[in-house]
Amino acid sequence: MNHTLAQWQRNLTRMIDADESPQHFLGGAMTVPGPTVEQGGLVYRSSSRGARAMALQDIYPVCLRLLGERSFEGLAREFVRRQPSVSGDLNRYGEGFADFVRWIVDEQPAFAGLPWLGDLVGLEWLCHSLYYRDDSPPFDPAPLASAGAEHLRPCPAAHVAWMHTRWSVHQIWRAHADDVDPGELRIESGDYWLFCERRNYRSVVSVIDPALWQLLDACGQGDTLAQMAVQEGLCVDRLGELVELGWIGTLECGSDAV
Amino acid sequence: MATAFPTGERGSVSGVGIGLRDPHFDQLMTEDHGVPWLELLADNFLARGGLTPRQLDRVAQRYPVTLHCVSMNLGGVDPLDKAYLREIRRIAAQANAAWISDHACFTAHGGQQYHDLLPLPYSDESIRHIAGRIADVQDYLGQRIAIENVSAYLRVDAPLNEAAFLAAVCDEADCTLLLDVNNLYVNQVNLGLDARQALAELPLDRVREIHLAGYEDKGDYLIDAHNSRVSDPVWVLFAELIQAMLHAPVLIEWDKDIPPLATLLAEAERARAIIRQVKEAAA
Repeated sequence: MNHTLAQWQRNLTRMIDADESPQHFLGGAMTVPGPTVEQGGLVYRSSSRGARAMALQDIYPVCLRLLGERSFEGLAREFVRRQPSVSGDLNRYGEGFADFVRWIVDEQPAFAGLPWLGDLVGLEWLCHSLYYRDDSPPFDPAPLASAGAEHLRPCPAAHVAWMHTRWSVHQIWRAHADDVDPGELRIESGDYWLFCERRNYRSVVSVIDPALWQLLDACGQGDTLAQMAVQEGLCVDRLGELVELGWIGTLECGSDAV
Repeated sequence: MATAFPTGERGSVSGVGIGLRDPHFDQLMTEDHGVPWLELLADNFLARGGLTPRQLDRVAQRYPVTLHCVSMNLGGVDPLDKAYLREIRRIAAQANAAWISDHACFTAHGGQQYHDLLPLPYSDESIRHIAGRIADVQDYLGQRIAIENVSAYLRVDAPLNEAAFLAAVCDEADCTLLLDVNNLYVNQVNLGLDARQALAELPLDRVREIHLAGYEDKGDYLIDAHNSRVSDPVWVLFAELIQAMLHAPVLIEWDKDIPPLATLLAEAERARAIIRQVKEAAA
């Protein structure tokens, strides 16, 4: 049976994505002295899915440590089965893991005691992704002299990120970074305005003033200075503070500003 | 028709090098172990910011390097990923890489990445397809690339064997060959392809680099696991191969269960000893 190149690629990748026996998909494969078609197909399925699961282990070490290898592997296996990879760069795989974990926590009684787990995973993703982001150029104030507030849009620097959580997941993350067993920590509920930054090539997480957090978030939403100025409760007068801290990367201006 | 590229090489890559892996980075950057060159996994250096580009600079200042890729998807039917190729071109320029290599396989389909080296049918259609894409990649990168033979666990019903397939691809694309001796042996055991016969059929004049790695024995078949020392049958094949190419650069690969650097250095020394023996016998 002759298979065209495209047919073979479609069949082999469908086999990797499926859960049924590889033989259902691999009619064009020859009998060879080594692995059977079933074994050969499973080698590829396992290797492809394993690479993605391994990437999740590398990206989410705190979650792995808290859940233990067996539970984490179960979660990772299920996520990989549902979530294809769309970039050749495995460091970009797994962004949706936090939402998946939140869904699992809602659905599975075994995870009912871990309502904060999704937020912890979300924080791990931020810290991981910061490591690979572009460097931020030095802040250039020149657009201030040539454009009005309705055209100027302060943009957060590439090396910063922020999130709000109702759990003290940052304490667990920091404990892991300091190699303290995070399982010994008691998670606390509250309002935590977290700021993440790549500093000296490492991710650092801190809790910041909610007003500053909201201002940074408004910048991240793409608001112009004029829009920020009319938002109730937004402390636009502290923008200079964000610039001094290095959290604002650029001041975009022009007709493309919202 | 494939573009003719100059044969001159950047940097100076010769002797037995090793693949750079993260656990060995500090040692290799601060100590002299007599390693003549390093192969970088391009996909580990894709980040444009943070520590990665600084590390790339440090490596390139200290060692001649080559760039080994896994995501060009040369045999795939999806369009070539120009964004990926742009990054490869950037990294190669930054590291002054002597050459760039990837695999004779496909890695993506239907917009999805599979992060594995998936086998192609050894057919005329595959030859035309992959050779055309290699030529496009070479045009984009402005240099010849080397394509590596891969281990396989399935074989599609098609008229050619692997050696004839690779020879035709190299000829049609005017590319070079990265010959992985371990993969030849794995395919002998797994697919019944005679490795010695392959050495006789492959275009050895196009071999730019030789790879050596360890496999995992699963009983009925072998896995190209890169998690152990080079096996004895592979050393034997290597000794036969280098009789025809004493000066080809050789690389020790180890990707999983990475051992202390000393273990890789010992493997490299074993390769050097075999090359010395073959040279002495030929003198």
